[in-house]
Amino acid sequence: MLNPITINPLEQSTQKIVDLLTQLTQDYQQILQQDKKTLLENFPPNNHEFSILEEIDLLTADLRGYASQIKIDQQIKNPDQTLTKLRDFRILANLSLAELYFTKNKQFPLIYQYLQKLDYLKLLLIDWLMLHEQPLNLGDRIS
Amino acid sequence: MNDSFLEKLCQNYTEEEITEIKTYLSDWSAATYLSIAHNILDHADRKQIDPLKLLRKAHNFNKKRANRIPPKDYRQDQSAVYRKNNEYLIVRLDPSGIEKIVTYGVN
Repeated sequence: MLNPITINPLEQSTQKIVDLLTQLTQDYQQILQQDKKTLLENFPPNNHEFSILEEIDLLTADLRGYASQIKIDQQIKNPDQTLTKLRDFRILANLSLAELYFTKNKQFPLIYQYLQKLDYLKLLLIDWLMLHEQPLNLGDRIS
Repeated sequence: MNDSFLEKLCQNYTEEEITEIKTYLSDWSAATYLSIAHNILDHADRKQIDPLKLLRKAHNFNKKRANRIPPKDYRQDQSAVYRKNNEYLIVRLDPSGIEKIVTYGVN
């Protein structure tokens, strides 16, 4: 008998989200251990916007919350509202974060990769919600 | 609501500590998690901090003496950060208009 994950797109999407959550936990801990000091020297917190660590913390909490709902319950509360929120969700709205991502990515490869993974998690969540709402409509999926 | 996360959160603590935990939980938002306890457990795991220690630190953070960004109102995502020394508290309004903690950390 075939393993459902080999044929079921929703199960595949769920497993990708669960795997990514584990990776993100490890990556976040590595960033705090290795990059915190250099980050503060290059991007000291100012009174105009969230610091890079604050912004990453909030982005992480928001996306991890949705992903954890899928991991635990295989569903998301208020799916329509969540889909709208995720489509509007911008990873690089913070100017310092955008500067790091586009101009200092070689100096901060861990954070750069972490932000890419957060962006991927966002897309996976959107994909999951579309599959969950319309399991037979496989168009526009992320492979 | 039967919150299995609350049971997990309270494991390995004394009765006195559990009472303390339950008091502090009201400071927090469930945010995008299934419950407040779910948020705390994931948060503590990600930051490798004891959950009760995390709750105490966030509870003892004095917002009145902290810098707030933005100084008034909230960002487009309805959040604001309070920052004092290297500690920060990120909040959002709950449906009844009270600021609740989404995350606590150290810059």
